[in-house]
Amino acid sequence: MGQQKVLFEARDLYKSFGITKALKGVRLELRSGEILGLIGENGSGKSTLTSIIAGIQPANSGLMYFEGKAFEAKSSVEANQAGISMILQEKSTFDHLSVANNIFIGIEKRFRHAGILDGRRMRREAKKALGEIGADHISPAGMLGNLSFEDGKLVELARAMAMDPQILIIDETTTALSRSGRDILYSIIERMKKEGKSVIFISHDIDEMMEKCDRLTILRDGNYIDTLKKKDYSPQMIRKLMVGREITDNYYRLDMESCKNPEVVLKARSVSAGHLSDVSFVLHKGEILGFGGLADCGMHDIGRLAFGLIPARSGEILNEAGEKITDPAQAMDRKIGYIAKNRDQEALMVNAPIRDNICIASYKKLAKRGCILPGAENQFVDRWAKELEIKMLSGRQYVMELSGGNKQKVALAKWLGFGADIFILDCPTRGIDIGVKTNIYNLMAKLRNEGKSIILISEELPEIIGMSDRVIILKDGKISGEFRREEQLTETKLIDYMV
Amino acid sequence: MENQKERNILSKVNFKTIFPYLGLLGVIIFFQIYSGGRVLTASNFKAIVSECFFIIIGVTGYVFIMAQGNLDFSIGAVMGLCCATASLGASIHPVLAIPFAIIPGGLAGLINGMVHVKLKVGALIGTMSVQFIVNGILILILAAGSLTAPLHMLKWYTMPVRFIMILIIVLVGLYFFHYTSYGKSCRAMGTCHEAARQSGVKVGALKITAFVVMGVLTGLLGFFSLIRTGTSTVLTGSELLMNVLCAALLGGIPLSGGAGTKFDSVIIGSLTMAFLTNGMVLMGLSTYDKQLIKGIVFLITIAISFDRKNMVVIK
Amino acid sequence: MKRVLSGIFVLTLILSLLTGCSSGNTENTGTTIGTDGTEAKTADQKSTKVTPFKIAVGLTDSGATMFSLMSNNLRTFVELAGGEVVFEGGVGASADATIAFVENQIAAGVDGILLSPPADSVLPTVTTLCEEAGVYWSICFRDILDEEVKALVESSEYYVGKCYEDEEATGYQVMSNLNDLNVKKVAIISMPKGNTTTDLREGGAKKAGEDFGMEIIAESRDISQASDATSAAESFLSAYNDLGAIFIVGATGAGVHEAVAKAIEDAGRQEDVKMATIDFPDSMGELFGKEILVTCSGLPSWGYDPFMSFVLLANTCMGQPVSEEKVTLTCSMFDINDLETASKWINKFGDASTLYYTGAEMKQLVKANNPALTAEVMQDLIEEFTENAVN
Repeated sequence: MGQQKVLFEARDLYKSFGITKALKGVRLELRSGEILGLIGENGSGKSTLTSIIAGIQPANSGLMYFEGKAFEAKSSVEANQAGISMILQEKSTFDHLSVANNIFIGIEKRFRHAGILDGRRMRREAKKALGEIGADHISPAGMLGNLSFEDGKLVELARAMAMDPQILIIDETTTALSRSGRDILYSIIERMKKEGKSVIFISHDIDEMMEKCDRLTILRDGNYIDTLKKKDYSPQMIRKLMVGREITDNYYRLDMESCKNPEVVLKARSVSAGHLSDVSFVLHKGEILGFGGLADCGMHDIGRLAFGLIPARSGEILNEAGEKITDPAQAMDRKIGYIAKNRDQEALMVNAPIRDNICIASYKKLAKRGCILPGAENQFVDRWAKELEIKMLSGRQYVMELSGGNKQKVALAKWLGFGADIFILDCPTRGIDIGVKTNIYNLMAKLRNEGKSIILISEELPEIIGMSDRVIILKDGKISGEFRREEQLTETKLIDYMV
Repeated sequence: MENQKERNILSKVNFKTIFPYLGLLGVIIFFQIYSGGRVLTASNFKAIVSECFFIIIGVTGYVFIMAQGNLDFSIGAVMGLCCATASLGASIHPVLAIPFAIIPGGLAGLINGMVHVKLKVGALIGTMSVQFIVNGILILILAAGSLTAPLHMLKWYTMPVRFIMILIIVLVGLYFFHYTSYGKSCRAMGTCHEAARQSGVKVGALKITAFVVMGVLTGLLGFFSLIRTGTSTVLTGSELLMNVLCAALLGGIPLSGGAGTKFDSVIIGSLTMAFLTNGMVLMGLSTYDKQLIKGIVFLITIAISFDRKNMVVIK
Repeated sequence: MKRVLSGIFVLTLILSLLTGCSSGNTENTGTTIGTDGTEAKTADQKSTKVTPFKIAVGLTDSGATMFSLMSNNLRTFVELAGGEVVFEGGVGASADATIAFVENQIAAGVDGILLSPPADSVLPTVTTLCEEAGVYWSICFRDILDEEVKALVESSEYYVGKCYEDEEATGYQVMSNLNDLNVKKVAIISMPKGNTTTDLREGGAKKAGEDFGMEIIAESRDISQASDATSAAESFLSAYNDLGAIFIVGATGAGVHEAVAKAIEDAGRQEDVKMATIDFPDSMGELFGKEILVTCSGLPSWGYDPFMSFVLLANTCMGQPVSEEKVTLTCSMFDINDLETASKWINKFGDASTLYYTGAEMKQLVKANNPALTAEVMQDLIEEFTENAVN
């Protein structure tokens, strides 16, 4: 390998949002033909750093150099044109435009001749771009809104690659992709490396990072900590640098007993809804029931169904008293709470204060003869924010300013404050760092011990195995297997039932 | 580090929030100077309350709809219709005037709500269609030309009545908007419809409620228009929508609603509109100049307070 | 931060209201007021000094020659008499606009208001508003038809009088003129029902129709701009092959007559479809020349009616009313049926700078200068004006 050229360098970057100091003198060095991993807990500053590099926001102070020359992008379009592209974890495509339009958004000039947009050429180029990344199955003319989340991500990738970037930044995208999606991403990364270009790769999956990255830069609390070379990698070391203290591997439940309580709190009888067909299951009191499967198996619909968000085409879902559940308000009457997988657009109102988010399910409780006083709300918020140790400035802070982990805590605070007895959690620890993950697992265990019931839907098999009393695996909308905790489950065993 | 401290202080003063207050203050001071001190006099106060009456009641109802992220384009036509029906009621017996005004208003609101929620038609198109239909009905009713109110009823339109009406409606509106789950849920719906739904907010029922309340208030305004002018014509209420929207935006109510919607915007915006119109009259501007200036002010306000990040295409 | 601002704001409001209250109250003493609110004169005091006055007129002051003619004359008079006049257009179109106009002008501190109400039903409110504020007012272009309203209005101290013309007779007259030209089927363009003026004119037209065996076969209302007129005319033309004339009974906005004429020309039907109108349009000469326009009836000058009503009002505001009783002046309409008369008329009144009276004559319209000025004198002046209209 020898001495590689430094392609990009950042020095002494500072960035604050009001009182919050997101970056405190952070530095970064990216070499040509290298895959640099950027790792750190939520709130460590990774996303802030990459968004500055990608031109989405400016730093308060500091210097950046690209190919030896001073660099500053005033917008993401500028950064794109300079050769830096980024794809994110959350969705950033336009449902109402076609795939081709999405790929060339902002650079339609290319296809404009005398004011007329050459749609056919754009679609041809789009087809080529999709082909380059190995996503031939996506049609360039189709509406983006009709694609699955994963295919949407692939379109974003095609968009990023269409600019032929020198630097590709992948910000926690892999967690949202299936196996095949990830493989596509990995092949792009490898190709860029071969072509002497570079990748900045962010993920929470330490194993993935260790495998794919040549070097790992670690941030913590807005500070630059260290950069490790591949030969120096060790999960213990990395975690320690991330968190600043020792972390053990065991953060799931330690006991191996499944729930013994016969009391049924939720029952699904031959239900067909969404992707599900003819599904039946029961949930016991004080039990954690895990649902797993491949991307389209229908497990997310289990959550939506149980909360009354989607109608049952046939069959029904009932609570202990035999009452049907057909809409969210009703579900809440039965003391059920639900946190969707899509945190920012369904589980939370990010453009609203924390206080509104925590109180919204509990207005009936907080109202004294119809009147809800600010004092009552603030007390409520303080109590539950403290209980869950939410890192925030005040109840008036808007949720969008919080890190992913704290956002999730707000959603949980909402339902804890509401006093739910049944919790439906869909991918509750997705994209959350270790510290908060541990908090959440502890909370789940505690709730279980208090006799609350939890439906845990997750795409992370270790999580399902680690936390559930029983596991139900879905395949193509039907139940393909049901297992108890005592069976010492392993990933390989369960995967058999998924594919 | 010093840089950062300065920046922190400046960023605390949220310009967008302060702007409506500054706007109102600015308008008052400007016209006070230019009209030779006529703005802040007792007799002008009456004109302001008059000017403000219809707008502030209208915006009180409208703010709930806007908080949900919706709009209602039918209020002008409904007001005209209710003015006519009030007149019909009054011709039977004066006491019937108010119910004959409010009930059709509420019904119109109900139709707006049903079309939007049950038929799933976007609020913009739905309420506009209702506006056309209601206008048509109004023209049919007024085929005779115009309807009038019995003379003695015109005496009901006194200053104290107006003032108390405004006070009651505004206070009730404020209470419901900020201190009940209804108002809070409306705002939640505007912030993120799906998230509100997933937190148990009965979105359909609340939307219908907001439209019905708006309809009732509009009906009330129709009644007041009748006793103010003594007449009901096809033009009654034609300015209401524009005035209410202007007032809402001048007051700083975001077009997409949501958590940032505050009730004091209702008051500030309506007062600003009233002072603006009134001030222009005091300066002797013609109707056309007034419209031009209103339009410019409207545009500037939108430009400053438009929250681009949050703008959702109006459904 | 917001609370501090709100606090300052409320304080400023309260302080200003308190200081404003004292100067505002003198305006409510119900006597003649000076424009700065500090001078007051009771009606008893007869002084030779003429108090400056301000009157608001609810009519447009520009757009068509007839409007400019009126406003120029009024401005000239007001200058000589020693006062101020403001115009506000778009008022007479709706009841709400009328009331808003009155309220706003009262707040602006006028001494008198001249308006042309769209319907009788707004008058009770106007009466109350003016009484409460101690502002004088008079009417132009309208009579009061409703007996109850009339009684109420005329019992108010602040109502000065009105000037109007016999609209029904005018409507009748035009139809009669059309009948003389063998027109049998007529389409009309008019204001929305409920507008006193056009209702009366249409009434007269209908009567003429019955008397002469003519038929009003179509109507279009509330045309406020030329394009609306074009559409209406085109619809009439295409729907009715036996259309004899388009009668513009009343329309606001400029260019309406020209638009209708053009529509007729474009359809090539200028031989058999003619135009008639009440009030003389700017393009009257041209239209007579093309032989599309065949008859019009109108005031010798549109602005003359408000002018006279204004004179009544101004005198009262100056403290020397023309009459101790309510005055009603009537203007006669007069016909123009050919190009020659039209040209003569245009020579005189087609120019916005034509004055109805010379400076000296106008001064004589101020009672303080001319104590012999009475309602009868004014009515005589009106007759004289009409007779000499085209000489």
